[in-house]
Amino acid sequence: MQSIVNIVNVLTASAVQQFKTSIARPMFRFCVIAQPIIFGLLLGFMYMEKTSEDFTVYALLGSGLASFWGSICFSSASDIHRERWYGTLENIYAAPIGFKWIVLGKIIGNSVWGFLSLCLSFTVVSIFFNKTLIVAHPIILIAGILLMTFSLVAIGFLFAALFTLSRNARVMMNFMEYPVYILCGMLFPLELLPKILYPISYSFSPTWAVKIIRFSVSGGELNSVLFYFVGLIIITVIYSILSVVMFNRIDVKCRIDATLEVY
Amino acid sequence: MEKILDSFKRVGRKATLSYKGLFGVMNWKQYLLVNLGSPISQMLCFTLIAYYVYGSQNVSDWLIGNAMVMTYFNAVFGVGVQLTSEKNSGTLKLLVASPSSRPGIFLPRVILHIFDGILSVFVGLLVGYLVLGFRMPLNVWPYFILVLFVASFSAMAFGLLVSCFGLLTRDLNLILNIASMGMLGLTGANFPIDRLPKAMQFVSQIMPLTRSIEVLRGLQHGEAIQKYTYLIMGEIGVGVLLLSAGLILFGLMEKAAIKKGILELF
Repeated sequence: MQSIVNIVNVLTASAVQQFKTSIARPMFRFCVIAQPIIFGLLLGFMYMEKTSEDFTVYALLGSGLASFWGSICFSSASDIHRERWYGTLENIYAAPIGFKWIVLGKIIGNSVWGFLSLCLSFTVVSIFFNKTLIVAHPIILIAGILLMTFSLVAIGFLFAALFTLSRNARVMMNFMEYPVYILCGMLFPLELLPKILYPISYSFSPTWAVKIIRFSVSGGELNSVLFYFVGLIIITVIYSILSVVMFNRIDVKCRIDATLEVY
Repeated sequence: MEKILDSFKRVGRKATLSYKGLFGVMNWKQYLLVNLGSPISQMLCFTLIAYYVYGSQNVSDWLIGNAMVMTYFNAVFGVGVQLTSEKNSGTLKLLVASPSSRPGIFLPRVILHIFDGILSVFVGLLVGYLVLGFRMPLNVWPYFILVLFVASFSAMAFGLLVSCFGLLTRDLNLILNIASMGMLGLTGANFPIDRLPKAMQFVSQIMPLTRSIEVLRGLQHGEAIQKYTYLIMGEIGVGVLLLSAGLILFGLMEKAAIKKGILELF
């Protein structure tokens, strides 16, 4: 019981610290403040003559979702790289509570900003284009966005694990932004892509989240959305398990290779 | 004659040295991901949105627009990142203190980034051909290359102008990214300019690439190049104006940064 309390304390402290310090970085401010606004307006101008359903899904919500993904890419992935650059990676790695809990706290802190950027994008676009949110199932929309937030935390955790050992974090995080927008159908329907890419698309949780959001806006049989919810939950669980396995492997590999500080 | 050759060699040496300094640390996979992967995936993403929004008939127009934005992507980040990295390495003060002229120091560094941008456009159009069936009539290609060089010049000039702010602020990446996203929206690359509010339409007209994109779309639709001479001249004019403004601003900001003692702030 005491260890659970300790872990919760570490998660909270790490998340609060990250929430305060990450916004001090200009690039992060771009990701969570400037980008959602500009991206939202850009998509709003593109979608302004499409149906209100398309506008809602892709300009109002899609732009926010894209910004959320951007903040995960540019923060959670690069935080490990940053700690290495500062020379503090080995300190948090050797902390008695466990490296992975500190990292998870950081990702939660970043994800709160990501969620706020989604809200910011939504608010600015709806005010600028004078559009109201027309949603057939508001509860499903809220549940979908909440679940997506958890899922993005899990992805961020997995990325952090992968980038602890990789020296390519900075390059990869710059590259991963747009391919995921494309593959997950965040900004246009997934059906536009060739079917051969679907297995890759459905291995990313935002694809399932977009399906839920689209359903919540356009409506339909409730049974069909259950499938997407189950898919999103399963894939989030898979990410979480993979992250834990990766962190355990890293623990061994870092001690054998002794390359934690090499960059 | 020898003096002229020497100065060309010096420009070439400065260009290659700074380019190697920026990318030499990367392996070829990282280099391709940064220089081609990111801009091309951005181009593909916005072209696919346009494909969905406006239909498949005019997809070439939007592909051309987004491909042209890539010239800016390379120019602005290439120039801007160099200024930031000089700052981070503590060598900016040495460059500023050197007796060489500022254009002599910074302009040669842009050359290879211009070629980088042009290469990205060609690879982007090849991707467009493979993914979206993009075609351009053979007789249009020479004009396309001409306009591409003009567009790259004006994009580079704008990149230099924007990068000047790096002397006064440590938030250059923020400025570069905002400017980069602005190019996606203000040049007509992704939606008709008349959708913008009136004030923004004016901004769009003084932005680089706006005219080049219009010319290339016209050529793609079979119009004669003569119809667009004034637009090409306009783009060159905008490029010259931006370059002059950039060089003047660089001098002013350099003085201000020295006066405030923030040249090395990062």
